[in-house]
Amino acid sequence: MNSIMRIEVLHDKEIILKTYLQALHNANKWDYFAETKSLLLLVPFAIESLRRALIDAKSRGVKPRFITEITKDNILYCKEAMKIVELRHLDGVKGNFAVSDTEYIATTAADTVMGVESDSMSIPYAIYSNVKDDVLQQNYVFEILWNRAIPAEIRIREIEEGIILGITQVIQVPSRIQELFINLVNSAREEVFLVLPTINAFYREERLGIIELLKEAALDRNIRIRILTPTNDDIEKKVSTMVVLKQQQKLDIRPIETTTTAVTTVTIVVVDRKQSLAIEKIDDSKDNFLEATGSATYSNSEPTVLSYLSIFESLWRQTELYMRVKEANTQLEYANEQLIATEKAKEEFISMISHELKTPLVPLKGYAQMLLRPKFMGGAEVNERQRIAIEAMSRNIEKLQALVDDVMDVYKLDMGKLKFSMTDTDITKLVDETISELTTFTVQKQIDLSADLRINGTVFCDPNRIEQVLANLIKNSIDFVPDNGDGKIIVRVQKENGDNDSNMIIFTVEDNGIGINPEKADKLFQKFYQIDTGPTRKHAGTGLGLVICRGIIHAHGGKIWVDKNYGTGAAIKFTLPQLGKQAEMAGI
Amino acid sequence: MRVLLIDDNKDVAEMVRLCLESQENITCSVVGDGKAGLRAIREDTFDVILLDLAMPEFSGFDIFRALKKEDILRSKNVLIFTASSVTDDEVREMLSSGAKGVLRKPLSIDDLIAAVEGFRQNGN
Amino acid sequence: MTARLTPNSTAKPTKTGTTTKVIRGTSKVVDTEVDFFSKARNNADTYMNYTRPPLAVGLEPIKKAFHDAKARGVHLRYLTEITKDNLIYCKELMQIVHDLRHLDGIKGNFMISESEYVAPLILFEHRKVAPQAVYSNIKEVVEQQQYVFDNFWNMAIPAEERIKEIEERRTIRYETKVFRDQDEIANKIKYLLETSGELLVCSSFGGLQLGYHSFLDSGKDVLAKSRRGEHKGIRLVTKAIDRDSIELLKILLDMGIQIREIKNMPPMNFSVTEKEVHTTIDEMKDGKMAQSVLVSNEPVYVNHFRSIFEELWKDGIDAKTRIASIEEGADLGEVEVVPTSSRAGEIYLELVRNAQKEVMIMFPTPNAFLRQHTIGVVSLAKEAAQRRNVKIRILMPKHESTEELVRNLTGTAEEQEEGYHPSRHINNIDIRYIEQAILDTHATILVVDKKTSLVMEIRDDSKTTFEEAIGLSTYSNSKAGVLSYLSLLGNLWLQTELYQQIKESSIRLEVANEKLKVHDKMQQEFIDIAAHELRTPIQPILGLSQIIRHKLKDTDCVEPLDIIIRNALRLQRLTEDILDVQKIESQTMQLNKERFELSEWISNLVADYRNDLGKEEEKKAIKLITELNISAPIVVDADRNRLAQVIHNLLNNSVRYTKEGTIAVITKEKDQQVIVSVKDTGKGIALDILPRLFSKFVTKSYQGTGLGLYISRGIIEAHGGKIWAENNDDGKGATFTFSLPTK
Repeated sequence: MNSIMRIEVLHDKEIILKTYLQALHNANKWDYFAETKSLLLLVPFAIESLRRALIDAKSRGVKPRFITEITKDNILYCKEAMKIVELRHLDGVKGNFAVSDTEYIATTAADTVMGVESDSMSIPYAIYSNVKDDVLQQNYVFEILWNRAIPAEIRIREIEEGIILGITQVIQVPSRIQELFINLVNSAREEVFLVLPTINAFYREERLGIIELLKEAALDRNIRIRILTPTNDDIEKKVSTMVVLKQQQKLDIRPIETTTTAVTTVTIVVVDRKQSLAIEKIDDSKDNFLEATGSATYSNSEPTVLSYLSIFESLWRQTELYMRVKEANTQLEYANEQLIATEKAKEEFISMISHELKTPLVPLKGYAQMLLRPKFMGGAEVNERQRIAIEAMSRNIEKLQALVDDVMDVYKLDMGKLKFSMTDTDITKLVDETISELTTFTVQKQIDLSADLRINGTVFCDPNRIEQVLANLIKNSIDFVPDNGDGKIIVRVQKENGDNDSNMIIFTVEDNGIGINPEKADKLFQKFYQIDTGPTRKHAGTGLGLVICRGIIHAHGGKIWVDKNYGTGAAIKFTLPQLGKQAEMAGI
Repeated sequence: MRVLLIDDNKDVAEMVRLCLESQENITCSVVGDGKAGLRAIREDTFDVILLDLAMPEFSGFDIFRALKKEDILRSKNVLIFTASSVTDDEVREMLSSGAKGVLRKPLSIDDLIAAVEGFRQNGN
Repeated sequence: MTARLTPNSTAKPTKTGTTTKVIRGTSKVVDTEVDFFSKARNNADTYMNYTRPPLAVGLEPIKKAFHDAKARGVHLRYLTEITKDNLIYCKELMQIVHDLRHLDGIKGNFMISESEYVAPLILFEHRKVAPQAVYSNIKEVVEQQQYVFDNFWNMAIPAEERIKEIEERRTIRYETKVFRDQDEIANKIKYLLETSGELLVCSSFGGLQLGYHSFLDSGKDVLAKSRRGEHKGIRLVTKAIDRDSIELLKILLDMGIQIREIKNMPPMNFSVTEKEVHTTIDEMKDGKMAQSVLVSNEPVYVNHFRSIFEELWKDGIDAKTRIASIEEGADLGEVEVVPTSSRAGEIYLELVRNAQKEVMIMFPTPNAFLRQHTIGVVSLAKEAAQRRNVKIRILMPKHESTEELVRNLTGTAEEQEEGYHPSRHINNIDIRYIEQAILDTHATILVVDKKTSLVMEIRDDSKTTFEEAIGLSTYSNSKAGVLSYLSLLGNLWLQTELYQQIKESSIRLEVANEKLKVHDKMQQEFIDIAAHELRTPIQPILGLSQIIRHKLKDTDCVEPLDIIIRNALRLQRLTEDILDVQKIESQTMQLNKERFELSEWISNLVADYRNDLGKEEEKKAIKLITELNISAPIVVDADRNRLAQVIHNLLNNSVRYTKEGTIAVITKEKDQQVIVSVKDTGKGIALDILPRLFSKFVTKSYQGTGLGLYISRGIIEAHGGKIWAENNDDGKGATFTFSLPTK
């Protein structure tokens, strides 16, 4: 019976069952497609022989595949079935058939054939075929259905957890898309999220009436509306009119930034966390929604909708943070402006004070000097006592001048505003010039001031300022060495650690004076600190000299310190990088 | 030698005049107003001009710029005489523009005299 | 296959009491038949020609025999030829037996049970009982006849159907047959079209070509009929439309055929109407006629194909729109649900592996990022970036758990400053940190080359492997879909960048502001200290100069000394002013308040000032007067020295700007306040200076630092009063006024 190619209709239940079993027995593959309603779905399992035949087939390596409509009514059966076969779900399954690699049987209850409702005891029909082409055809049918079907696990999950798979489809017709858009908004019950890609999109949607609809929805139906959109001044004005709604937390519009090179322009709307519509704009320059719109993707598939939601929520939070930080930033900018203005104002003030201090000093200094010289006084002379007084006055004038200068220098150093004129300075020349400037003082006191230069070449620095430093250090030494002829001050210049690869040059000003108390050494560089403030103080300094030295040296990238290990006398050292930073970078 | 001092401070002016006129053959004219000073420079010839920078309404800077624009700066011996802090770069700039020197207030009378004397020509 | 025994054979006794014999006589035949039924245990099948049913229900003994057997549980089957003549009897028979079936042209008669076989003589006369019958209970015979019966039974159709056929006068025979003759096939097809009420076609392109070339006229007729409402029309499903099929499809569409496209349709071809179905596997390439076509009008079969068609139609894409979008170049693309996480993982890796230009990924949670690493996405991405120059952009939340991997990915040992989020752009890999959204479910989103997207739903974020964590995934190469993700992610990308920039800007500003505040403080402190220090040398200068002046008062040196003193005083005033300014700024001015009577005190003050003024030549022309507009003595609680400082300052100003005329100091009382004005007839106040008069930064339009008024204001305001100035109404001079509260 089986070897002949035939297609025939079977009427007998027994025969049908036998045919099934036979087919299963012969099968290398077994695919079954059946309606839920039909008892036939239960047949494989209610009928022990079939069930066993299936298991047998499985043990032979056959992988049975079943498609049916899984509902909450048959979910338990399906779970049982899943133990033996691979099960998938398809909505609205009609008809039943089983197909192997060589045979196929399609069964149906008589009522479905006659189109008349009948009770379940009606006589089943079956078509049997082993005609190759026909069987192949049915295989194809099954494959199409299989690919469209959803794995049982997912369907079961859908039923048990209530997750809706839904559909995702592409819509091509702009008028349809527009209709859908409006309908979606109108259908909202709880919340609507809307992302607009460009300013034109906002205006387009507005013209379409979407914004108005959303406003109404927020007002009348108490729906929470959230919109992300690029803004300009005009849109911001419109947004500000809706501020009341915002406060009631019904309608919230936040600005997002767009780049001018936005390649993609997609309007995305998500309604009630259940439906999403992504509308592609193909021509943003168009005013009209229909003309601007390309295709759209609609989805009520929960995973898809949630994915949009996921990004949307991130974006929402991000914009909030951004707004907050921007606000804070604006305030900081304002504060910054205020502070800079204040600093500038103070600077001007200080500048003015400096000027105002120096101006009276001109006649003070000038006249004090002239008073002591009869030539300027028309021959008038002062006596000795007056002379002493006037000289004292002059000294104070000098001190005042020095103080004003130093104060200004320190101020500028503190503010980082002291300007340097950097250049490659010949070391020998620098030291020699400094020394020669101070010769008057040293000769007066019979102090031996000399240079010990162990390196020649140049150093990148501001020569005036470094001279200022050296002069300051030397002057300090002058104050503290004996003035009986034994006083000695040496200015030494050498490479750091005698290391020829190092970039640093060490300057040392050392003397054989009374030395510096190591404990006080660190305080030396404090403002207005004077080592010796007693009446025997010879060269009353401003107390700012070393502060300025330090500031200058630090600005050059060097260090200045007291050599605490020096024996009798004092030594103050400072370093300067030989090559400037640029030269260093250039690898010279 | 004829020296012009343009400075709005009377005490400074008085002192400078006393100082300079105590020297051989120096007359020192004083103008306390910027605009008048500029006029004086244009209309009269001086061997040295001492120019204060900070003056109300028409400052030394204004005079300086005007002279530069009229391209007569270099032909005059202008010494900037100021209490304002000028940086070395600014000094260099003024010198390259045509100023002959920068004197920082307050300075000793010897320095002042030396600076002015430097422009004396042949027993002038 | 009717086995016949020759009627005249004698009974032969066999081994175990089985026999085959001939029964003669109608009554004996009937008895045998009745016996047959009573002996039957399981089943009794009857095979009779069309004349017998009436007998079966008409003959009482037989009828009873049937009933009894049925009652005993014997399964009764009856096979006969149902005609409209014996219809009634068959209907009755249907109630008696279990199953009644019909077979055309039954000639023989026999009955078979599990043990016996009875074959009455074949008679075609109605109501006549057979006079003879063959009986056998030999096993082999029984078996063979049962076999024969079963065969016939299988070929038979149920009685209901036959009855319907007769009652509805149906003449159609149902059959299913394969045709191989080309002409026959063509005829069949034409017939199909002509007799259809609705035509559903599932066809490959070849089939369409065949239809169009060979059956155009029939087709047009059908469509004409449908336009007239006489036909339900032609519906067609075909496989994916491409450039080759577009032309023909457009023609067919224009003719009025409804067409839908099924992607991935296998090479199935069938046409089905309400009555008949034609199917073939033949490709009919280039419209060549099929070699073999299966034709069936079997209702079951037909309906089977109809439902397949409807199933396909349901999911088909409208050909018109499809053609339109192909012609416009728009690619529809597809959206596919990927049900298993393992498959999703495969697709994921494949997409990244094959990326050409760019990959954008959003990891919604730190775990999502960590999980991707376990299936190797991250290293694939790194490779893509390094070898193929693919731009990788990743959005993810910042979390310590991912830090190491991130560093690994970007190959950097960059130090992270506090609060600084570097936009890591090393090796084409760019990572930006986003704020984690608070949601119940998340999805990892991947977009590759702006063309494909894969959205992976995270079912359980606590799981550590990809397989366990991921639920459903959606793959798409639909332009609108992919673009929508790209758009949103792009926005997020930009927004995070801006956020970072602003944050960095804020940090810079904060740092700068702190620095500025420090500077401010330093400036304050410094000026304070410096001013104090400046006092030190000024003291001796002033002192000495005054002493010397005294000594040289009669000499030429007196003038220079006067100038020296004047300037020393100026320095001193300046220093004191600076200190005062500092006190006002830092609000540390201490007031030595006393209660005293104001008006008299002012009078005294002015009198002293008048004296000093008189000593100056230039100021001799100025008249200094006081005016008191009070009813009673005014007592104030104030610092005398400071107040004096204010009044002196105002007087100095007025004097400076007045060459001649009057300076009046007017005191009056009003609203629990005392108002003191200094009115002069001098130059007045320039309008551009007026607003800034009492600030620290008045221009040097007059000599001096201009701090006086600022300090005056500070002093007055420290007393709870106000100070202001205005030009006089008569255009001559200005008036400076201050108020003080009286207790």
